[in-house]
Amino acid sequence: MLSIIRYCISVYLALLLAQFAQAQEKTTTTTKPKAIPKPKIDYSPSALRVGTDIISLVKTGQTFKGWELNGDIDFSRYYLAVDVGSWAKNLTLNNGNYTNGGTYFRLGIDVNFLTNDPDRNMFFLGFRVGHSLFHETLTYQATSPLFSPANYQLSNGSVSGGWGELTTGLRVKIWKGLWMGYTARMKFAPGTKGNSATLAPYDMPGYGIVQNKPWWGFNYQVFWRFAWRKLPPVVVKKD
Amino acid sequence: MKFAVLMFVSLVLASCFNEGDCLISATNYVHFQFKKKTNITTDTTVAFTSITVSNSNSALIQDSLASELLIPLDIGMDATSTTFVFHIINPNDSSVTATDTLQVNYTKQSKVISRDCGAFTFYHNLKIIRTNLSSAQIKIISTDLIKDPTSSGPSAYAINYQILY
Repeated sequence: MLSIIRYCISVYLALLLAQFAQAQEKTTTTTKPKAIPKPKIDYSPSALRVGTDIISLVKTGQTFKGWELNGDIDFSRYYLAVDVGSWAKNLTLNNGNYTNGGTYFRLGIDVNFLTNDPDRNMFFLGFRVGHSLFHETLTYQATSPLFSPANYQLSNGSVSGGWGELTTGLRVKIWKGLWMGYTARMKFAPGTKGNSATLAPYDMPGYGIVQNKPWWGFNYQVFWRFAWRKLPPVVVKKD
Repeated sequence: MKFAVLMFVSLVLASCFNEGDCLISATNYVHFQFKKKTNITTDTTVAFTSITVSNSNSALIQDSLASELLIPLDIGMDATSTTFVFHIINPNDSSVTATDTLQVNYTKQSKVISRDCGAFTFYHNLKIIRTNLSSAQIKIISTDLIKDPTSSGPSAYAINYQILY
């Protein structure tokens, strides 16, 4: 687990370093007699993109009910991303039944690596911090030689939890303000508090099965982009 | 760049395959070993006329010899203690019997392992709360009930108590 996190962080750092080195190389090798002043990066946001996860809606049925809203706002190539959602599960176990329900949110930053795209499509890497508030109940039958079967009924009324995520994905402009995309998530370091001593938390909304570290997630999303100002056209760099 | 993306996607996909098998380490069996008073490293065989466990339907064993035993804790949801009663035959005089009693309490935690495996009770913090045996006669090895799901037989279970006879 630790090694995977280390690896991912090192990949991020390597990418950042590579980009920095590339930028340095360009500035040092392209020595022109008259230096053209670099355009000032405009960090002021231009639009709010709001969307929903289609997979959660499609999955909703007997065993899963859920929804998720996604939003991001641009600050040049950096995006502040927020996800808010809810899920409830009703699982039939081999020897019982498990139900849970709760809400969650994630907050983080995405970095766009497609800076030259004229439509401002995105390929991004990002990081999120997630928080969940949920309840769960478990009923099951324990058996053992010598004893009659024992029925257990347990619950955790109010459990809170948190985790971290590394994300990657695409955002593609389809038509006017309509965007589609996906987000793949590697979730790690889940922690919970507030559960009773007799029942270990099993499934945390927004994260998944708590004992799986890391765990993964995938969203296929559709967005509408609400723009309040026009951005200058992207100048496509040619090598 | 492509390599980094490929690696990231590979890591994400690799984590899809770590869904656990049904390897259950939970057990309600307490592992007892019987050792010689004179040499605690040597096993001794004890002759039991019977062993009973509180709230159980029947005696665990009758007229048996054993140098180690797995004895179940009461699995009732509200049970927090279990009493074991050992009826033993004096090794020096088979006409003489004795009764040793051991009551332990414990904490329990239920965990869902997976949908296919189900939910199980894990027993922790075993503590002797009543016994007629002297403290010198009982050696506490482990206070958690746990078994190695990859092996079988008594050796798969963590040793909890060694009783010296």
